[in-house]
Amino acid sequence: MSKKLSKSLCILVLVVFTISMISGCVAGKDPDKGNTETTKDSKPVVNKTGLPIVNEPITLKMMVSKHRNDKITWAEKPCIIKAEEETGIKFEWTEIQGSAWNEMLGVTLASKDLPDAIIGGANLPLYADSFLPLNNLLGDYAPYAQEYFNKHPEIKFASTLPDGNLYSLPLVHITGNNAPVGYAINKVWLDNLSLDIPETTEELYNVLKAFKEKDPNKNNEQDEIPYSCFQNENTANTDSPSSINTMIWNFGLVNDGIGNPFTGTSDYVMAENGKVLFVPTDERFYDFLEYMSKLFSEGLMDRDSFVQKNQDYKAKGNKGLIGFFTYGGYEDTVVGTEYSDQYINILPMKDKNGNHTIMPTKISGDFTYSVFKITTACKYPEALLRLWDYANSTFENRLLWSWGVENEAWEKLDDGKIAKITSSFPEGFSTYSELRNSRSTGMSGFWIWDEDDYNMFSITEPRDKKYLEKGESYKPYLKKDLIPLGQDELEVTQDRATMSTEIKNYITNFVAESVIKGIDRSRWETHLENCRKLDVEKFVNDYQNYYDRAQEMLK
Amino acid sequence: MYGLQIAFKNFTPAKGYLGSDWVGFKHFNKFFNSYHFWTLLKNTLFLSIYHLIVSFPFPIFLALVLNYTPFHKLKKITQTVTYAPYFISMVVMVGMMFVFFLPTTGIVNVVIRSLGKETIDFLGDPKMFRHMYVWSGIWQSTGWSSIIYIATLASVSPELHEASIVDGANKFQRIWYIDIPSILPTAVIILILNAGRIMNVGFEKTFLMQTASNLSRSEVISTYVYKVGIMGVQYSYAAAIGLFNNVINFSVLLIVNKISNKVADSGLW
Amino acid sequence: MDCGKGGNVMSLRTGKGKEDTFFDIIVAIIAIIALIVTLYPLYFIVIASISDPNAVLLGDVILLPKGINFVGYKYIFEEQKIWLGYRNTIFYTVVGTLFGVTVTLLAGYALSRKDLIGRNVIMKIMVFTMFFNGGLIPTYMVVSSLNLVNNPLVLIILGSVWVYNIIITRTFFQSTLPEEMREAAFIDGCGNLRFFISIAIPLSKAIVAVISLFYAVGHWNSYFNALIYITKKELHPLQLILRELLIQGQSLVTNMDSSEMESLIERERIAQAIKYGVIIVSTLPVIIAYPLLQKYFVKGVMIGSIKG
Repeated sequence: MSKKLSKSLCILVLVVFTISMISGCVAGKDPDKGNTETTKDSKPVVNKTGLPIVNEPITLKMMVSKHRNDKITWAEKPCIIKAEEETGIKFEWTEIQGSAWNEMLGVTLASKDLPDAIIGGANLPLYADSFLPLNNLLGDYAPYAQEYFNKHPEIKFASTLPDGNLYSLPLVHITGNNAPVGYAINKVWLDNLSLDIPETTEELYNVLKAFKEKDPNKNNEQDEIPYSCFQNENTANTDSPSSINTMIWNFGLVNDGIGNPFTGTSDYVMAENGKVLFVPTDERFYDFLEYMSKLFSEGLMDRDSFVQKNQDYKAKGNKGLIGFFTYGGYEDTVVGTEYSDQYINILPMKDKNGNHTIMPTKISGDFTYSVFKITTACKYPEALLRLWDYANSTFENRLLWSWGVENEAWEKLDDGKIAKITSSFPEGFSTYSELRNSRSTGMSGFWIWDEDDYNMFSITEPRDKKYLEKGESYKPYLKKDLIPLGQDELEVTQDRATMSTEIKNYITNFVAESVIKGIDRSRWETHLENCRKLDVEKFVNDYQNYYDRAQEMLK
Repeated sequence: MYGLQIAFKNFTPAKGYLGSDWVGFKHFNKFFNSYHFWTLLKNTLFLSIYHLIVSFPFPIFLALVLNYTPFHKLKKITQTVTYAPYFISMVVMVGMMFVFFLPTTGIVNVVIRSLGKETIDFLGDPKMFRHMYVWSGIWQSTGWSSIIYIATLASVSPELHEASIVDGANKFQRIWYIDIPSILPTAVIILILNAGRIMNVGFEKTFLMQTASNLSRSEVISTYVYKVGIMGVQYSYAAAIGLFNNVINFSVLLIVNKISNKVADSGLW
Repeated sequence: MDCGKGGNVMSLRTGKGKEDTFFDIIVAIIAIIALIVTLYPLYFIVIASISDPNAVLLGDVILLPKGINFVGYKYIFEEQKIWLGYRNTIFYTVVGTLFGVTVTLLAGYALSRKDLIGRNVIMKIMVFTMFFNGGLIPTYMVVSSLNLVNNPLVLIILGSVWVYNIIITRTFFQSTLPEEMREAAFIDGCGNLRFFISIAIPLSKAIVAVISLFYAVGHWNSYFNALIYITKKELHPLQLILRELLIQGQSLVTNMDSSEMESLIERERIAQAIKYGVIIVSTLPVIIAYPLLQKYFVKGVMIGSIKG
């Protein structure tokens, strides 16, 4: 029996081994190139204009990244049902959960069994070979895209790869505001202590000191936290608005870069007078470290700042304990709805030259460049592009695809404007986000808006009004010289990803240590030496090349 | 196994395995020459070896204790309770650690301050990182790891024990002469297998425990690979590092196995 | 003769009583210490799961829950898929464990026999696979070429046999079934198969219990394979569903507007609240199952088979 068993074990192992080798070698079919086929009576399958889009029913396989709040399937969305009726195209949806998206993307593209379109974020320099360039087809089949890109060249540039081709169409959600990140301070505390809004770092220091010592929340306990921040869990992502990095604005510095959607766009570089410089080796960064370490050593800065996570920070905020902080979006995200009225937006402190510096977003809203992609296996790319155009060229369709059906998520007001319906939700949906992202393609879709679309929505919520006011007050101070969003060569992108991770790891650690233990000239010298070892020079050079090219293209 | 070759190529999914360009050891060189390489290696190995050596005796000790615990109820309850922490997910485990050890509000520091001492930055001080990592790991997995030893002890022939009692052995002696030798083969195998994991400092726990101030000790190879390879930007680079890891692991295993064969006359083969 | 552990037997013999009583006390104390050290954080999880999340984070919850609410649990159980998840996971666990234990037992036993041809070679190959594998993409390709995507079988077969467990089983058999026993049986005319069935298996209750536990827990906790290979929601295991639940409660500052704010803030709080509740929901069944297996570790299992 043992001999038999050993034999069967051996055979089993050999078999498994062989299977894995063989299936690894399965090369798969050649991808079909797009072509214009004709129907039996030699009418073109795809119509260049008008509806239906196809003269003969075709089925297109679509792979989508499912929004986490989407409760139904894409096939059931009203916009899709309407599209199938009107265009004649039938869709077959493969929905992938967000958390598996990256892996499945790689797996699908490597498998040679490609769908016709892939809808979801992707790192295009790496995957470009799997997708069709769209630029030459836009004029004929997606005129709205052409028109939109003419109006917004920076969006076209951001989606274009260095070889000049456009391999995807983006999702653009204009929110009318270039300055989501803001500085907030507790007005009630200021009033209680009869203090003015601080405008210089000196004044801020005094205010924070008063916050700590003079019990502005009047509860006879020294529980106030003058300033608090937290570090993003992923130290490779320095985009978090509530991190200490936002405080460099007080010194005339910003954290710019192009990065990628997952490590964030902040790469510790900055453009000034046409040159790209590395922020952490600038003199002003030294001033920043000196100032923050002073705050820390005097207890004006949360002791947990370099250790706590998002939720600890918010727990303190929600108890109204934080006097001054930086944030993104609405104050509620930090202090909750109970305390948000106590806070007002202020400008960052003036730097040495007396200027306020604010880092805006480069596109005034949400933007994902790589959303709508047609694979090399698609036989009817023209049909897909026409579908895109159909979904985006009229306001009604854009609204249907991005927000859903009338009187569910939105309604028309008497003055012609649109308002969101947030008071009640239909059966099966417990939040607005669920409703919107289920009954429309929501934030997983591929619609593009511009400012005119945004202005169709009426702003009634006091919170939104506050948000707009902040945007207005910040406008004059938004930094103008920015590194435009866009794509770089694959190898440069990969190098940048590696260097960026290493640099950010080092800088994050260096900042924490300097603030906690203090900074002096000799430690600074060591730091400069370390940056040399990290090959910051190459990092900045790569950025300078990119920046120069971008300026050329966007002239 | 076929997929291992991407470590030597510039893999893009479109080109596939066979079509991607061959680059030889480029990725390996890139990794070895990177600024953080030695720090990563050091952090990974120190953490691993510390954990390996320190955590090794605890499950054995616990198994022996449970074996000889006098009251049946106590034994059963202790056994069940000590095995429970293993099931706590890493997110919750580290979350709890943060709740307990946070400088300002953590209960541990509250107690420390009430005793008149200074706050200890358990979570931020790089020097504390290894201890926090290893000891929390011991807390969490000792009960679970002791199961195999408990089972082995349970299989020791009771007649051996009876015989030794007749010969006048007390419990200490029985442990030394009967129980430990019976566990020894299993313990050795487990030690060898764990040595073969020496480069695998787990990603999830380390990542969750990283804070801005402890990075100099808490950045290990697995977290580095995650950050560098996010979104699959660098399949090949990540694969190369992974291969490097596995080669080291395997070599260590072979060495430890050889040693144990010579010394304890038992090993994997 | 089925004997209890040495302690009971000991009490029948006096003589070394004092030393052993001292020993007993020390052991009992150590056990109690282990109990308390392990118990507090577990207790904390229970009270945290019904406390106000902010209070938990700010260190206000120490011995008693604060701001008691069951919002977390309500949220978890409102998710109807939870029950589906339980059902699926039980299925995968039971079948997967049976499969894994069977294969492991056979393999471990075979490898423990010195007369197995190619024993060392097989061992080396197996250990090799523990260290080197091709990664996700080739594995996915193998699975899909066998048409196992979205097939529940994939969760039962893929990763269901661990070399680690095979090695442990082999070691167990090596130390508890000495060669002499087999030789004795052989002389008595017992063939390989009969030896395996009538002697090896009954004596291996402890190791069967152990590796069943290992596999069962492994299946119970797994989610990654399901994440990649199973897109049909009806087939999702519990852990995957719970993970998705946790992620849903997390915030993204962009991609949302004012109207989503209220629910977002609520969601974040809930995410914190359910963090602890999720642990209890997902592990309670396993923790309850353990004491049932304990008896196999406690009773002696060598039923009078050794002769000298």
